[in-house]
Amino acid sequence: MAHAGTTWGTLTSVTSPEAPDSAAAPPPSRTEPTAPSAEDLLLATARGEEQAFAQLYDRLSAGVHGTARAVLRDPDHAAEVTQEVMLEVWRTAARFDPTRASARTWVMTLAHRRAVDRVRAVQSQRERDQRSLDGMHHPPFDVVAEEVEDEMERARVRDCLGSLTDTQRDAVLMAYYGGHTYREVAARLTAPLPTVKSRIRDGLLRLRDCLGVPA
Amino acid sequence: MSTDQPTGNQGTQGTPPEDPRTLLGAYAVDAVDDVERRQVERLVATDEDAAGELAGLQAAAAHLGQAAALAPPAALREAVLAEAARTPQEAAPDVTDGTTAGSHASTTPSGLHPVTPIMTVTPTRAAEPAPTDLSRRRRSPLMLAAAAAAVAVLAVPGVVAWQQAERAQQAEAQASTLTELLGGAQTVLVRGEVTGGGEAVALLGDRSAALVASDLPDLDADTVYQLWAMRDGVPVDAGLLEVREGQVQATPAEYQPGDGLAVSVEPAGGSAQPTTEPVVVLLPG
Repeated sequence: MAHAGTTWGTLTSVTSPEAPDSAAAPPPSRTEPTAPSAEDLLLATARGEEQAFAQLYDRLSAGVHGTARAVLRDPDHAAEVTQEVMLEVWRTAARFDPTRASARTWVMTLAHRRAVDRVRAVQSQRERDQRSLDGMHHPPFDVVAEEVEDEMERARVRDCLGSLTDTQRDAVLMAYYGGHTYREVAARLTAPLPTVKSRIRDGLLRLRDCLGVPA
Repeated sequence: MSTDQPTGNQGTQGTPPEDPRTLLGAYAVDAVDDVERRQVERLVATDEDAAGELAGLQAAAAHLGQAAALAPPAALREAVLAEAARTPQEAAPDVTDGTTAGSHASTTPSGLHPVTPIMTVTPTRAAEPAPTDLSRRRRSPLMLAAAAAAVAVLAVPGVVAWQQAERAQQAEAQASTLTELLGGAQTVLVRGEVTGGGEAVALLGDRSAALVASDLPDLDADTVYQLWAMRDGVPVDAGLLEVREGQVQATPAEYQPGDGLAVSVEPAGGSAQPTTEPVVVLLPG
């Protein structure tokens, strides 16, 4: 039966619309001391400077590609997502605001979002379920990085992951590298949803503090 | 060990929405669904503390990505640079591209605007014209008419303009869902007029469902069509509907057998629960 323009049935009332958004003051300025000039390169990219973009590519593409590879596992998809992300960086560089994020965080956040978009688009729920335990193996830490700089970063992150509890670490890594929603993580770990949300948030906060990331 | 969708919308179903602040960590690692994503984006647009915390969480998460650094194939560099050289750049920092959640686009913290949050996860995708053979199916005249309406919408050429591979794949998956639904012995077709204009057809199957609507009036930029799975009289969020030239197709993952489908007009970004009366409700029995 069709009910054109009827009510919500047993739902007796509807909730009030949420308050309209107002423009928020930008958060405090945050820049990562480890990558001071990636910001300059990104700002120059926003002005259409192809040379700067090429340098930015050299600086950040390994992180983008590694993230995509960790989440997607598939080399072809990872390369495609890398290309997509770097072109999006080129196209939308004018949106970067150095007072709000470092260039690396801006690009890496975009990279992870796109990798997760892709994994959710191309993989069935079942495949991701089967894959999810792999997230426990912390794949990026199983191999030695090609660049010394990358290996130092890897060692630093690995050390800082040691400051998380085991359950926090599992939840964070399964979500980040596995590309799983926290609901999927909760199902895999047979833990309550609020618990998993807390583990991810608290785990990231510890990681942030250990890494000395400004916040 | 399949998780499927049994817990898919517990956080937004029937109970008051939880404090989106608890989702900041999950948001920072892209572990939230569309509705939760928008909740967090609304929060950080107005709450400086939350925005500050999110900036730190995203920076920490970025280190996880950096720790996985792996050089891309060498050939990619030239391909990207060549492509960039012929790709125009966006000029203004506050350009809204129509896919971000309304006014949030220019207020998202951390300057993370290039992310178009709802593009690839919303249940609505255009489908390739489906080569559906209806001739071998026996349907009541009403059902046949409804099926014909659904197929007519499917076959509209203008709706096929997606370019990215992932979207094409989703479109393919959706077309195949629709084809399967149209052929399914258990599929119930329900048709209804939409308040304000247009008509909608729900195909309610034993595993999946689809909503196909046409001639929907345009909404202003502040509002969106949102789909709901009607479960025992309670609407369960099933994502925003993407309208292309008045037409909509959606195959909601939230659907469970026995559900109906309903649509309401909600504020940009969607709502955890309906805030307006539905414009159409299509129930199976």
